[in-house]
Amino acid sequence: MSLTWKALMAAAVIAVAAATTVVPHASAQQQASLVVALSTLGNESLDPIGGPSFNKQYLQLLFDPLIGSDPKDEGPSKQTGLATDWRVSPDGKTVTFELREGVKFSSGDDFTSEDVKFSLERLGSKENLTPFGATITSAIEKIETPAKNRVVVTLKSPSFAFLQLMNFVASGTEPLIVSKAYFDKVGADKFKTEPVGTGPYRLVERRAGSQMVFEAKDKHFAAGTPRFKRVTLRLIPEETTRIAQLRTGQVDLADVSRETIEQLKGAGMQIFTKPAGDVLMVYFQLHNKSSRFQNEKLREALSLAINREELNKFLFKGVGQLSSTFGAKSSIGYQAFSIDRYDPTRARALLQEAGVKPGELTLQFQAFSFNGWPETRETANALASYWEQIGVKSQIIFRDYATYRAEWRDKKLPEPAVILHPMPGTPLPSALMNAIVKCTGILSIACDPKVDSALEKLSTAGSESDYVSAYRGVEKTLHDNRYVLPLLEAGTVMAGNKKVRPDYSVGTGYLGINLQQVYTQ
Amino acid sequence: MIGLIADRLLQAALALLLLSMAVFLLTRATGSPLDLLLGQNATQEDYARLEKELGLDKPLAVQYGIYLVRIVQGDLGRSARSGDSVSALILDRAPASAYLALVATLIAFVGGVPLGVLAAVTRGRIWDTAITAATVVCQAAPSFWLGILLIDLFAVRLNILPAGEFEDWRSIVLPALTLGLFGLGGVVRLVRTSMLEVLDSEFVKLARAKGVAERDVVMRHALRNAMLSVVTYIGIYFSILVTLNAVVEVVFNWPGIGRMMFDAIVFRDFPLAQGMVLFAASVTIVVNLFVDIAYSFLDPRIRRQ
Repeated sequence: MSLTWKALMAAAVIAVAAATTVVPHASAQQQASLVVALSTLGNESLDPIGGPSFNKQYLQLLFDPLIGSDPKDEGPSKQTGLATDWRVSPDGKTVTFELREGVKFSSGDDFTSEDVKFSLERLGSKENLTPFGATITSAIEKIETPAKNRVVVTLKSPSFAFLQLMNFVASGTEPLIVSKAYFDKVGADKFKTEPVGTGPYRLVERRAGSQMVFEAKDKHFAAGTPRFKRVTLRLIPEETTRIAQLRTGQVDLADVSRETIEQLKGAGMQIFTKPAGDVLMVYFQLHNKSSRFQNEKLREALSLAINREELNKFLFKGVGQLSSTFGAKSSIGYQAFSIDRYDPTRARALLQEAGVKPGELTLQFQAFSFNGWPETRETANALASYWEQIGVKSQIIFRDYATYRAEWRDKKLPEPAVILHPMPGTPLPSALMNAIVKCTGILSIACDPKVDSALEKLSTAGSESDYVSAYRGVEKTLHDNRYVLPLLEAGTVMAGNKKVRPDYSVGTGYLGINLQQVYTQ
Repeated sequence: MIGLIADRLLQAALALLLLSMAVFLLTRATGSPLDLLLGQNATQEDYARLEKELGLDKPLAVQYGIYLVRIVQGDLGRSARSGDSVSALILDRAPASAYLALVATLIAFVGGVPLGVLAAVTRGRIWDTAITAATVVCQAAPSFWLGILLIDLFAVRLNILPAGEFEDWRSIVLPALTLGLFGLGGVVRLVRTSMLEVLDSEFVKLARAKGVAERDVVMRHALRNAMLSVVTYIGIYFSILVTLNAVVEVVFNWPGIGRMMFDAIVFRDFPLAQGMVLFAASVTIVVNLFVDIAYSFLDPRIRRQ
């Protein structure tokens, strides 16, 4: 009996030893899971054209863009997108895309040129709610599909911006390709809840307002075998909880505020940050001709009342950089301008000159949550406090971007409307400018013929030099007139445990957090 | 007894009807639902089509009738933020909230009643003082603070329990304790006060004079009478936990109704918020119905009335 017992024990020990020698080898190929905690998941729409791109990183898992980006430097890549090559005709009006062959959607349908045509044409449909859809489709004259692996896009005029916008780093969810065959088969409603793409993952569970779970496909043309079998994106708005779950290992990667960096480093977490990237700025809603903000002196007074150095030092722990432009430093053609220095005395004098009596004006101050910007609420409070010091009150309305965007778009924000807006850094801010500072833009805040004329030149720029010249013209007009008040530029901060590769780069793209580098081996 | 239940059911149905009317009118007062439901590029034709589809082109009374029918069918509309069905969202979240509320209420009841009795029968002595002091702490500690404290101790430092989420049985411990301790404090104080009142009453004195054992006096005569107020408290406490428990659900990232209500209000998701108001009220009415029925078991005079 005793001998049998010992034999069983020995067998068990050998079995355990065998198992433990196999497991690490297997996990080096593909780890079981990664849980990412985020402060917001946007409007949670699963359709690439179903709403603004902000915070919709999850679509990177499901879909591939027409032009891919390098996981390291995020530049255009012929290896990671659905186009393997592209050529622009000598007159700059025709772009030919060669498409990857042998790629399938999760539904089993083959990826073809018809899917590209369908996806681009959807950007011009009335269902499209993305900010750059109109910019892209208005540049297109026609789309032809001479072969299953070739798409020819004829532009109305040469456009430097068009090719840039086919990569989601410069635009957002617009260049993500959906399956025409699947869409036609299931219809728009089912597509919204059960979308399929060519991306490395498929959606296996979605709990609205809580989490999304994705499962890796066996093989993806760019990522190979994805690094994690399962990726869970969990919505945890409360930062204390995000950090607690990170420290207990329930979560592997999370967006955190800059003030927690030292604490998390002390707890052995890896910190992933960029010195610059997104620009936090204040917009004035200037569309209403009777708006108080039409008075330039009022705008200047509000700008001079802000102590930007103090904001950066105390709320952003000094990791931000003061900003003078709409576009981030990563913009093509970036050029810095002068920054308004804190001068409350001058601000009060300007307010008086503008005819605003102390305590008479109450601003309707809109702010919203944004991945990588947990300080937005505190910043809104700080700005309100600065303005209070010169005699301007603020009613802060803090809510989700996806919700208040409707009111913004319809020019129904309560007046006088001020918006605190972290603008994602992108190499090509022209599309954002078209949406926000052009007279007819989807989220237009101002109507200045000078800006519109410069933007027109920007959108028709056929070469990089024309583009840069026009871009700088727009920035100068915005700066000189203080239509927007750039505050500071700072990058998203993420904290992660050892599951996250040490060379992870948070990303500079419009979608915010780069998940491509998370799942790539 | 059947008459009592029928009477309460009738009252509950009437209350729900009035409530549905109030919610219906509030929905209309907050603006056209079309603005919330239609996409931003919608045309006049889209408005006309959806207006007809939703029955908004009909007179208000007819619309209310349709609304009632939809409620009965469990259709509370669609979330303005995500476009998901409000009924489906509530049904998805309700089990997590009910589970948390049930465990927290059990902690409050199972822990609170014996401690309250102990405090009452040892009035003025060390046990009474210690229990009373502890209940004051339980009730005075803000739940978000207590929740963060418990997370820091048991999840981060000791690493023996998860810091929130709804994963396995261990996930319930900290949020239920955070909520349960507050309720426990309330139950202890209620039981103690009611017991002291009842123990001083004539019928208890008579029972003691007749030689009834002290244990029977306390458990059969005093406690049963004291339980009426406790049942009311537990009923209200439970329904609040199921529907309006936002703070603890946010701190523990518990995927329940309270957190969703919080999000719906913050993000101005009116259809969802209104659906949840209706749900919260329905839960309160149903729980009150059970409380009324429980009364009749505890106090035979109510049955006779």
